[in-house]
Amino acid sequence: MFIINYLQKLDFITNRCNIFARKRVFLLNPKKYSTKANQLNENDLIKGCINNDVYCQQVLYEKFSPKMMGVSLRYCNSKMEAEDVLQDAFIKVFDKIKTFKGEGSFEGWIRKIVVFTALKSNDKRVRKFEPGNLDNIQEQSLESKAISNMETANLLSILQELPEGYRTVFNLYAIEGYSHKEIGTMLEVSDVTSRTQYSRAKLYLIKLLAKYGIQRI
Amino acid sequence: MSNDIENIFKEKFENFEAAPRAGLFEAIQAKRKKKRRAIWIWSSAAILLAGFGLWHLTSSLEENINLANESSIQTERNVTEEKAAEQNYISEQQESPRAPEKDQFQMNRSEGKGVVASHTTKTEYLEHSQKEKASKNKNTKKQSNDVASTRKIVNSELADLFEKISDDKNESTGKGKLYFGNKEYDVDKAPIFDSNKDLNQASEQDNPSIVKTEDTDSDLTVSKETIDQVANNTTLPIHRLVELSKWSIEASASPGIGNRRLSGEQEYISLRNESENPKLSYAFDIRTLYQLSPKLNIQLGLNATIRNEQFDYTTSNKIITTEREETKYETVIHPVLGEIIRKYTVVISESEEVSGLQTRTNNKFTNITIPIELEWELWKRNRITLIGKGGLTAGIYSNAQGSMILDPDKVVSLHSSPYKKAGIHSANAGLGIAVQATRRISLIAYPQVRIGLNSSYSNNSAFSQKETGIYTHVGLRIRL
Repeated sequence: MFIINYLQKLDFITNRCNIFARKRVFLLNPKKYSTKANQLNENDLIKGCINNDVYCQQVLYEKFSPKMMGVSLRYCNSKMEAEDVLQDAFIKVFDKIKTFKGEGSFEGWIRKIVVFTALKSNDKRVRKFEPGNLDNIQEQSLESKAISNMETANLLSILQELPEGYRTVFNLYAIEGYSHKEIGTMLEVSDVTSRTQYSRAKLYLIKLLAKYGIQRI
Repeated sequence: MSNDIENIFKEKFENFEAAPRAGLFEAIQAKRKKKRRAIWIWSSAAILLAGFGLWHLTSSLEENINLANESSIQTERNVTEEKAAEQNYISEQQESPRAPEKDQFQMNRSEGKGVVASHTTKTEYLEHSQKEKASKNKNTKKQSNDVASTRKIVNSELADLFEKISDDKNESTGKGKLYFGNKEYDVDKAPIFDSNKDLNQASEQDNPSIVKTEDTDSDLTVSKETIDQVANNTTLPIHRLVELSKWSIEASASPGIGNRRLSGEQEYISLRNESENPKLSYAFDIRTLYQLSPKLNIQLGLNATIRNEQFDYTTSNKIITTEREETKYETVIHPVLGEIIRKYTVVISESEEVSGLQTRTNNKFTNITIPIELEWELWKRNRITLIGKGGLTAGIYSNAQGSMILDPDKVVSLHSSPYKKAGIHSANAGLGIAVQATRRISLIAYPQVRIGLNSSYSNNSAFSQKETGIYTHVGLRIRL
């Protein structure tokens, strides 16, 4: 009991200065400390991860993995693939965390790594930039209320049905907020291609939504 | 309106969260550890290899420098400590007819390190410089340098070789060159080994500037200063025995076509064969060679093979049936109750055909192996050698990226499939040519067939996959 009390006191101190972070991991089962994860602020976590502290890495992973899994899922065809991307992305995060200079938000930095890892992983596949079957698609207004009432999971499955090229451009432009020029550089295509792919992606999406019963008012 | 879609999607997905599978963090940690371990192993292997190469280079360089130093040290020592012995030797030379070279050589050996040979040359140049001094036509320094350039240094290594060759005159003397001054001799054709010609005769023919001992003056009083001056100002040429090492290193890049042999259920195999097509693959190879005999060598190294494959498969179309309940109302006119609204539920089933999912990936199989091979010379003419080789490779690492079919409706990622990580062992056989570019460097080119010995998937999988391929190694071989 005495030892545990002592260690808890030590943990209280180390939460502030993080010097003994590495030692603490060896001394205590990190699972016991999951409740204390919220006490560690982001800077402590980053410092701990730079010191290769497994506990801090786990806290960081637990903090960001659900959100990043959401990002990864949007770029991949299946959950398994998304988990592979997430795994590679977190390996990169832990390896390159020293290079994070505190410019911009940490979450944004991790998100960028996840997006780039997903793009790189999808590069192995042939990303199709082709018109697809757009013959019967016309610009039509949709009931926006009906879409907002849809579950995100359903929207995700609709998004995953988009051809890969369309989905990537739609994700990067509409959700991530990159400009067409940036997207062009990332995907090694011209910004005009990115623009046309995006407008086609939207048309395709409207068709898919219509297929699932969200019709014109 | 379409801007609404953007906004709705952005809103919905901005903070969208999903739980990854349990145990992913442990997998991340394990993969990082493995990666770090691999970096350590490869960097230490590279350092070891570089260290060995450097050590080998410096040791051979040191050897050459030692040869030169040894001779110069001996010259000084002889001048200062063994002046009396020299004079005795010279007087002996004058009194008795010249001993045959072979005897002289044996004397060299008996005293080791070519000390007596140095006596001879010392005597020669002392006499020569004295003669020049007497004529006063040229200065002493210049003359001593001239004489020094004609000197012969018999070192222990050379002496060992002489003894060995003179013992086995009828046997092949192997490859190698001997350099005396600027002249190059094959080891077995060097005049020094001709039984009908002694060393001094050969030396006289090659270097007419050597002064014969018989022609010298009887006046041998040389001042100590002159000797020291001559010895100090004499820069000795390095006459070295160039003998090629038995070790070589080889580096090659090998484009080729890799494939695999499948065994298991026939239906599954035909599905796999339809969906996977071999593409141009590569292998990179670095190895060390040790010459066991002039015609046979053994090789050990490291090989990285990247086998590429085009995967293209579309799952069959699916019919999805959805059922929904619909509540309907019916107005019925009842004889007693009058008009009644009847409520009833209808189950409507709708079926829809959904087209199959197409997956196109470039599958990449990376294998790192340690090849152990024997190579033998089949035929040789001038610089061109026909070589045959065969051996085994021991797999140490393998990985795969891409997709494969698990069943007709399921395409899985190779990364997470039960791929055997231990490594893929194989047997190799090849035939090729080596063209000697310089004394040390040869260009090599040989196509090699590789046949996998173990399955690249774990034994409990329903099928067996053995890697095969033909790779054409093109590279350089450097003899150390």
